[in-house]
Amino acid sequence: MSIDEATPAFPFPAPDTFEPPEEFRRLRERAPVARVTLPTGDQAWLLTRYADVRAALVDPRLSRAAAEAPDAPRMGNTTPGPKTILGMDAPDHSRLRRLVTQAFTARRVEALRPRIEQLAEEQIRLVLVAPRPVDLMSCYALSLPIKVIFELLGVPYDDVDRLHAWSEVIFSLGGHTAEEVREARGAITGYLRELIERRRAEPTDDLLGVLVHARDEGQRLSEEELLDFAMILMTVGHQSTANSLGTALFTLLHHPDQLELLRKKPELIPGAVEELLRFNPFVFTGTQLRVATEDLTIGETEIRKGEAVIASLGSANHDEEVFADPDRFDVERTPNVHLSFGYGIHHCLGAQLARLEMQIALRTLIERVPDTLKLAVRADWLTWKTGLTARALVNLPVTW
Amino acid sequence: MGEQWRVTVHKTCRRSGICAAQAPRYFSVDDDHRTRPPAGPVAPDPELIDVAEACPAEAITLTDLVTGRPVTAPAESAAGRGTREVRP
Ligand code: SF4
Repeated sequence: MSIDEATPAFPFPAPDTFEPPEEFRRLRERAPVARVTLPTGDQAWLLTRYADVRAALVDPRLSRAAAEAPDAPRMGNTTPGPKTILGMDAPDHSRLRRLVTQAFTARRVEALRPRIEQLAEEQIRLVLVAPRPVDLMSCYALSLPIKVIFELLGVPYDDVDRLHAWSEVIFSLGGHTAEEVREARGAITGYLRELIERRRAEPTDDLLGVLVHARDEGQRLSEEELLDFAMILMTVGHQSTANSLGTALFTLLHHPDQLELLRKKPELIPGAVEELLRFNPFVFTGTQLRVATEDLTIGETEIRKGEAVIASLGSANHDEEVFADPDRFDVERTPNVHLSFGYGIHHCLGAQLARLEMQIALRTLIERVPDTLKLAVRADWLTWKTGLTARALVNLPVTW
Repeated sequence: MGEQWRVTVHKTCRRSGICAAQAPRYFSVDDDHRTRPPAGPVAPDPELIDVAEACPAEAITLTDLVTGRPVTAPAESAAGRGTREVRP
């Protein structure tokens, strides 16, 4: 590393609304392991090539736990925290993940299909009777994943509004202050603490009940880990699916020929969901920052112990080495080895559930809303929330 | 003769990379991005059971080559009783 090298600020500004930042392409070609300056002023290495990104995500020397240390380089004023599954390495990570893996396997998730279809049907009915233009973001993309994860966890739906509001702050897509994030986090954990006490009085077999049981009977996680795990499942569980689904609906409406193709051949929907995930600007920025626990080399670049590394999933998803014509949105793309759910031990726990929800949401929308469905405003008038690690639509007004 | 296991990865694999990250001694990723199990039989290792249980696609099968039965949990590996064999 040489000190005089220009170190661009990261995350890169969004060029317009939905294209991947041009810098990614340039870096993949010229500087696949690039020094960048984070909003905190800290420095990090940004990986933009698919091969490097994937290798970094399975490299135990690039640690999430080390990135949670008090003096570690930081992206912004908030991190998931050292007691969350997102802030751990093996073996702690494996211990926590194992507690809930069974609830998220492909088979268990598939068993939820009828219920999710029912919820999607309920939601689409509300969309159909709402005055147009309808905001698909709030009426569909958000409400469906929230209902699914609340049911799975066993969180009463009556409390959805405040829980969602707090999650928004925790995700900090709107650039909240550290103080606001701390407060929202305190509010959510306070809420969950009460809910957990109720589970202790009256055991249940929902996901929260399973975690409480693992804590009390098996001592398999600490009280703090239990609270943080519940918080992560609830907040990430609805925020990332909702944002990805909202963006997916937008992407389809923005590519009417591809939407038309899905109407004619609904059997393409599962593949389309993979392409929508690949194209998802929600992951343009990167993954959680990792910190090197020893000196290592990536490509030709030496990375020192203690330095931060960001693996850009969004850039990897557009790497021309892996994806032919990567900037083209093609619902028939196959194979589609996108990294939107991450890779390695931190691969998204809810990946199968998110896939199923997106498939059902798309199919229900296509079947139930008239073919004349379209954006109610010009695409470039839509407002996006741009946070430090993700990007998402504020609303998605449609009409037909 | 020592007990040996065969490890298979079914085509239901969703390429999560969890196995390759958790047990790189056993699982690798091909140039075509497919997840590969060890080529030949391996000595029994509880780590493999952990990895098979961690697979979100339930795509990893361990087969006890002596009994021809799937290995499902540490206690059952020797006895190989219980579950129905599902040959890949
Ligand atoms: S853990 Fe399972 S789904 Fe993931 S790569 Fe390995 S075999 Fe495939």
